Amino acid sequence: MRINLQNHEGNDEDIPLSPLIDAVFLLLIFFLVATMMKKVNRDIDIELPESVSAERLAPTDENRVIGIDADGLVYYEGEPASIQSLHIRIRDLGISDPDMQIRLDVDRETPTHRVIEVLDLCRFNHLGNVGIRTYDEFYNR
Amino acid sequence: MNSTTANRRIRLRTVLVVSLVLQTVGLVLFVSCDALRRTRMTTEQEDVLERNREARERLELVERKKREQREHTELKKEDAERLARNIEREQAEKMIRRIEDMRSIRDELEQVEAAKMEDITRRDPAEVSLSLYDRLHPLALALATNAVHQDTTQPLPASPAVAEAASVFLRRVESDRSRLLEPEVFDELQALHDTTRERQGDYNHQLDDAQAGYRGDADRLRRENHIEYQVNCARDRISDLLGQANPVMSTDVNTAPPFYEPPESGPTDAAPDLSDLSAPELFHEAETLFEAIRSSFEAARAADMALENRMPLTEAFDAVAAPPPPSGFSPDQLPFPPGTVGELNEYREGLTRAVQNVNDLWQRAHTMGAAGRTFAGIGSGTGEQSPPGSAQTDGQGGAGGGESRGASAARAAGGGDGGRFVDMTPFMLAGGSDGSGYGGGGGGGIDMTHRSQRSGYQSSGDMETVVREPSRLSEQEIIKEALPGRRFSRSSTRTGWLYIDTWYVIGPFENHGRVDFRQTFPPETLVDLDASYPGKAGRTVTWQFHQSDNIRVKPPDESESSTYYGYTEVYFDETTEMMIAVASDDTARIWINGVRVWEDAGNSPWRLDEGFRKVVFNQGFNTILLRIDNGPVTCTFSLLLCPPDAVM
Repeated sequence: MRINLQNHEGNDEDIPLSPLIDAVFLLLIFFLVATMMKKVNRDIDIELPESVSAERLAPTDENRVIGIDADGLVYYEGEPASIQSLHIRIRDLGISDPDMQIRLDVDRETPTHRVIEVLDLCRFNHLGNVGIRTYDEFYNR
Repeated sequence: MNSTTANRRIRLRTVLVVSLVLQTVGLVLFVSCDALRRTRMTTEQEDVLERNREARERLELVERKKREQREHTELKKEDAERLARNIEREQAEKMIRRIEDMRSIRDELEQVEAAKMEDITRRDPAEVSLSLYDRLHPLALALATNAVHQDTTQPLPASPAVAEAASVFLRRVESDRSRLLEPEVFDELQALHDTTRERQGDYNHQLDDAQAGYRGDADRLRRENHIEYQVNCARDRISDLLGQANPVMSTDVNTAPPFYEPPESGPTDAAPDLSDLSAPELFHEAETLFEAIRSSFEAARAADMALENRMPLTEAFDAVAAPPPPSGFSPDQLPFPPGTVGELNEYREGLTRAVQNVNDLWQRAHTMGAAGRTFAGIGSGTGEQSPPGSAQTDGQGGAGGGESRGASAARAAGGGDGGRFVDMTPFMLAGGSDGSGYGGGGGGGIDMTHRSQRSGYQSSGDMETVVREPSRLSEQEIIKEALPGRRFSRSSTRTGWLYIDTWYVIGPFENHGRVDFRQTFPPETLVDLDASYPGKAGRTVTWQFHQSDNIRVKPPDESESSTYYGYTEVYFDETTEMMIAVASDDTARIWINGVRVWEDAGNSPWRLDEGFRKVVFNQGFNTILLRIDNGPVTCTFSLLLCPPDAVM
């Protein structure tokens, strides 16, 4: 038996492509916008310490990242920050959102006193939700 | 068998033969060559690294070539302009936010500057002379007393002349106490002192000659030498003091140096609309604003310092040092419109750097603004507003018709009549900044005229600076009880002594063994935790985070004849009166929210009960700046806080 793919007028049946293209474009735009909405976090050159007992948390943008490299230079949200400006930012944060999570990205060679300084600064400004990020084989791959 | 079948068999045989030959050759090779029989690859570490390096270099070379190729790609003029404008707009928005903030900081500091300069013009010039008198008179008295004692116990031909010269010097100091820095009085003072020095030199020679006759009488020698030593000490310290002082006419005491330009009070040119400016123009606008802020801050700080330390205004201008702008960079040279992709990248990087520089300028301006707010409330008092009953070391406060509030606080900080226990709260309440404390101010202008209305102390004439002696001040007990802490809450169950263990410390600065606070260093002008300054013996000093595990804080890099500064902040849930205990080896000064609340003198050992001050902390963050001058050997300081109720 043969299926008749011709309509009554004798023309071939076409698959309508316009809706498909519309849908593809919508998907494309969706992904573009979603990518742009992602928080810009600049990479800083640090080598994270390893830990076998660190708690694994889902990555989130709802935190503030303070980085300290091996030379003790400080970064706030990926941008170089002076100690004075870090004080101001942490103070503002402590006043406006004391529950904000602080993530410390610290190089394994960072001088300890610098880490203590930042931890003390957070504590003094009532920011108690502070965590130190460690190397994760899957996340950092 | 036909020919086709025969040919097929021949071809099959040929294939088999060739296959057999190849297999044989392969087998021979396999047997003869070790390398082919290896089951795993073994390589030397160096070889691997070398190959990696080569691969990386090749990759970099390719990348560089690609980049160069890309960078040399020419852009269409319209595209280049459009892209460059987009980049510029993006970066300009970041700069505009900072510049707007800097404008408000400038306006605020100009108000502070104008108010401080107004205070200076109303200062009694005699105040400056009295500051020298405060330090000179005890020495002149000691010199005269010991010279008389010397003449009584070991009379020699020169001893009456020494006593007479010392006595004349003392009388002159006392009679001209409010004019000591007038050039003619100062010169006469120098001449009188030179006479005393010469007479004492004669006496020293005569005593040496006389003592040659009784070398074996050790007790007598010791007694006489001790008296002679006392006279010589007082004489040398007076020489030192007069050597440091600069005579100045009373008419010039409150005059600003010629380079000072007051802020324009009349209508100024309308500030340009920032949205109309290009990125380089915005950058220059930020630079101009920074210079204005720096200038206002220096002038206000100099006036504040002159009032607090009772020094000539020109001298205070020399002592202040505001942070300089970041190293020179100008976006004027950036290629516009960029012709190639490389130039476009250069343009983008240049503007990013310009934004970074503007951020640095804003950061420093913000620090100056915060410091300006802190000391805005100090030293505004005039003669008629001088707090009665404020601690004055010698009862001579009326000589010049009153003194500024900053100077009064400074004198009370030194102990004054109150001795070890002084209530500094009247000065802090009357002169302190708004409750926000350091950096916590919410912006807005400062109305200098309203400060006096905030406190009932101002005109009521009931300023009490001496507090009754606390009852629980056992050093051992305090050490045993004290805990570290920097945040204070009324609801806290902890009510005893707390010590400050966390400091930013900078030093050593060279003080040449003089522990008299005469020389000031940049941290006294402004605390900038990122700054670096030339320190002792050519080294560069920076602020170091320092946490002490006990009450005694030792500055890192401790050395003799050095000055250090410590800076910290404390937080209070609400405005709170506290008792502070200060101990230092050797001398220390402490400013809380810019008000000097503590000062001691001379090379003194560390004692926890050295002095107590009742102070008031504002709600929020409060700044504490400590200066410690070390003479010989060790350097230690402590600062403890306690609610007054707990110790009274």
